[in-house]
Parts: sequence; structure tokens; C-alpha cells
Amino acid sequence: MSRRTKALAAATVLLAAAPALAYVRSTDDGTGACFYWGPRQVPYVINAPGAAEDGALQASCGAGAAVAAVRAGFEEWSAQTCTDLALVETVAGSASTQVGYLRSGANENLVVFRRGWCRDAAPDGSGDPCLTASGAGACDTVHNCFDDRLLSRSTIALTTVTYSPSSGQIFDADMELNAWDGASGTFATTNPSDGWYFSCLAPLARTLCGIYGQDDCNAMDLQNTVTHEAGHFIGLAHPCEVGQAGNDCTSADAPTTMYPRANLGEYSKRDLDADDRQAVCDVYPAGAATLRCTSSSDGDGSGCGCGTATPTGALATLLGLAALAPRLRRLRRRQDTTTPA
Amino acid sequence: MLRRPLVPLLVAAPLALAALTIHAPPARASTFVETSVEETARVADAVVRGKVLRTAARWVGGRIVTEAEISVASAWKGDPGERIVVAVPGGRVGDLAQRVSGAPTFQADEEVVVFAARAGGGRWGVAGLALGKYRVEAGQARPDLSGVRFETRPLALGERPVGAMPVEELERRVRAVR
Repeated sequence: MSRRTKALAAATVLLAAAPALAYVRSTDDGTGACFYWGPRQVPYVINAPGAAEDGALQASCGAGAAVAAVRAGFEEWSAQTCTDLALVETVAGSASTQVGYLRSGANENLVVFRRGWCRDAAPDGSGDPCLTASGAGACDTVHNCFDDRLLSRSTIALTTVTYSPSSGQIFDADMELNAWDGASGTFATTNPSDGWYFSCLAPLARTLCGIYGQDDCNAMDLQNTVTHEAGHFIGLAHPCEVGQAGNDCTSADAPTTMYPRANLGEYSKRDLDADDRQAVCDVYPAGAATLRCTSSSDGDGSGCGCGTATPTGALATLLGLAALAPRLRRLRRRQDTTTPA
Repeated sequence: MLRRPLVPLLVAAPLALAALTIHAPPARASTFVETSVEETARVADAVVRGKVLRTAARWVGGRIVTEAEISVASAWKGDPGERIVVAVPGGRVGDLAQRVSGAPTFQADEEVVVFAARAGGGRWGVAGLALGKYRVEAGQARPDLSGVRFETRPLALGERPVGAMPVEELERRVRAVR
């Protein structure tokens, strides 16, 4: 190996191994296809009927503030001038509580505030018909509760994406916010008996709430949470994984909205970081084609590598290819010259 | 004719491919509160170490649910029997797939530790979703937290946050939970 090739290869290794400030796209585990929305206008609806008034959210989320926080979380992504991706609330309010995808029938991309747990709303052995039903008759749909039988009480918010594994195209995405049932609660437990307590205060320095039901303090900031989940809604993943060798998070990752950690009361992720903006600009560029990834079966991918549109990752790739280029040229010349006439 | 060895090419090619793949982990995501191994064990009805025999996905209403059948080698908590079937949200059925943020995935022949929770009707789920499933390889137990976002908070003294650790330590921590 020549000195030049060695140097380039070494640089490739170093750069690829270095912590990178880099957005990452969600991909199918089997095909590697990156998630994306086909149409640039993606509708969604919000179901938050009287959430604050019913005591499911902090009083700061009342009088439409909860809905406004959700809208702001989506708009933060589509407001970037480099993209024409439009996340549009098509209906002012929805009564739907059904999450998932209907293979026949109309679907909507739903943001729904669950209130309390399904084990409480429909206890085992209660004879509630929802216990043996699915879809429109399932307990989470009927009682608008969080399905803590299938899911987990430690979940604060959760996004379900239905997509084509071959192309990565998203057909439906639903966001569940696991809100408080209004009874009691404390932040000291992993699996609270009464859901999670969201707040909607303006980003001012305030104290953290100690127990549920407190006002004028920061709890789980709703807009902060929705902005992050909306990143998943459009097909983005976390830039790193805490404690994962080779992909561990660094301080450089921390300011991004898609960072996988948040502090109680945090609201800084309401605003996109440069890396988040780069992601939405690269994947959904204004007036240009959506950045897709090669998958194993659709055969029409653009050839991009998912998540390679990063300064470090892309540079590492280019350096690697640069190291290869002379070899490939030589190999091709050899093939050309040794091909029998 | 002089023929240069292809070794440099064979070295450089994987490097370029690695650069393409290192930055492309599969991902799913949801927001959880910071959780310890001990807390996850407390809310689990059973904690087992075993091997995944098979998985199968199906539609349940508008959701895709994947069931994983696990052969139980040892039960660290509870007594779920020799085999346990846990259901997790998400999976692939035909030409559609569903990704539920923060949900664990299972593969046949995978050695796992699972924190199982009774889901009613004799069914089981995974306590804490991705926080409740570890893959065991070479003595290390590792949860897939790629899709997990944590809302941080202090943990109880002496408890360890969910994360990779030797499987012996994981067992000790689970068995110590009361």
C-alpha cells in the first residue's frame, strides 16, 4: 500500500470513528431504506379535547396553549426556508383516538393526548368488551387511555410510523402523548400511577415542578417533546446513542433537537439546531427531489447512504473513495489491457 | 506484466463501506423517563434469560404486533414456565412495516434477557419496551437504546441506569430487587 493510500485510509478510519455532529435518518432494519414522506405536504390532526381544562395537563396548557404547542413543534421543522416540506394541520381538532394504519379506509396522522392508563380504565377481569377487541374497539381507542399492556408506563411520548420496508416511504405516522389522568403524581417514579405531567410555559427561567398539579413551574415541556417527536415523524432518528461504543453521544450532539436525552423542564429543543436544520434541508430540499436511500429491493434508490450527509461522515466516505480511486483506475486499466481481443 | 497485489484495495474498500454504514444505524424513538435496571425489574412480573425460538408478526386492528417465543433457560424473577411468548408493537407483515418508537425487536436464535410483564388474558409484554430487553453476546448484556430518548432524573442510590453490562451483573441486580 502506498504512503498516500495508507494516509487516506487512516484518515478515513479516524474520521469515521470520531464523534460526529451528524443527523441520522430512520431506516428499515432489514432493507436499510431510509424513511421519507412522498408528498411534500403532510397533513396531521390533533386530538386534545379540553386536555388542560380536564386536568390532564398543567394549567399553562389551557385555552388552546396545548394545541398551539403541538403546532409550533411541527412548524419548527417546516418553517425552514431551505425546505418545502409542509406539515399542515388540516382539521382544527379531531375526535379520533385510533392509532395505527387502516389498510382499507382513510387514515390520518394523529397527535393524541392519552389520559391515564388502560389497565385502570379497563382493568383485567372487568369484562370490558375492549379487552378482547382491536382497532376501533380496542381499549386505547375506546377510553383514549395509554395502552400500558402492550406499551410501557415509562413512556412519555411515542410515535408509530407505518411505511414501506422496501422503499422507506411513510404512509402514516401517529404521535401519542402520555398525559396525566388528573389524579395525583410525582416525578420520583419511573412508572407513575397517573401518567405524565406536561407544561406549556413560555421559555423563562422557572423552577421545576415537584409534584403533579403545580402551576408556574416547568414539568415535561410539551413543545420541547413534540418538536423532537416531529423529527421522528418526518423520518429522522437520534444522532447518537448514549453509552453505545462507536456511536456514543458527545457534548457536540447535545444541542440538537434529536439528541436522545432531555432534562426535566428543558425547552431549548423547541428550536432546531444547525444539524437538525441540515437534516430537513437535505432530505426535503426546496424545489428538489427528496433524498432517498438505496434499498435492497426497490432498485430505484438514489444511491445515497442514510445519514451520510454529515460533514464528518461524508468526508470520511469521500476520503475512503479517494483512497480507492487510483486502485480502481489501475484495476480497470489492467482489466482493459488484459482482456483478450 | 507487473501485477500489483490487490491487498490495498481489499483494505480500502471495507473502510469506505464502513464509513457509509457507521453513520446509518437503524433507529426508532420515543421518550422515556430515566430508568434503572432495578426499577425495570420491580415492575416486571418475570425476568428470564433464554433464547428466541421464533417470531411472527400480525395485524391487530391498525397495529402490527410481533410475538416472540422464548425458551427459558433460567428465571431470575417469577416463574413463567419453560417457554414464554412476549408481544411487542411493530414489525413487518408483507409489504408494510410498522415502527413503534422505543419498542424492542427480536430475532430467532438470539440469546436474550427479557423483563416480561403480564398483559392480561395469559399474554405477556415487555416491561419498559426497549428498556426491558437485552441481547446477550460474549457475556455482555446490551439493550438496544438507539430509539430511546431519556428525560433525565436522579436514580436511587446504588441503582444502575439501563445500559450495557456483564450479564452476571445484570442477573445480580435483578435478583437483588425486592
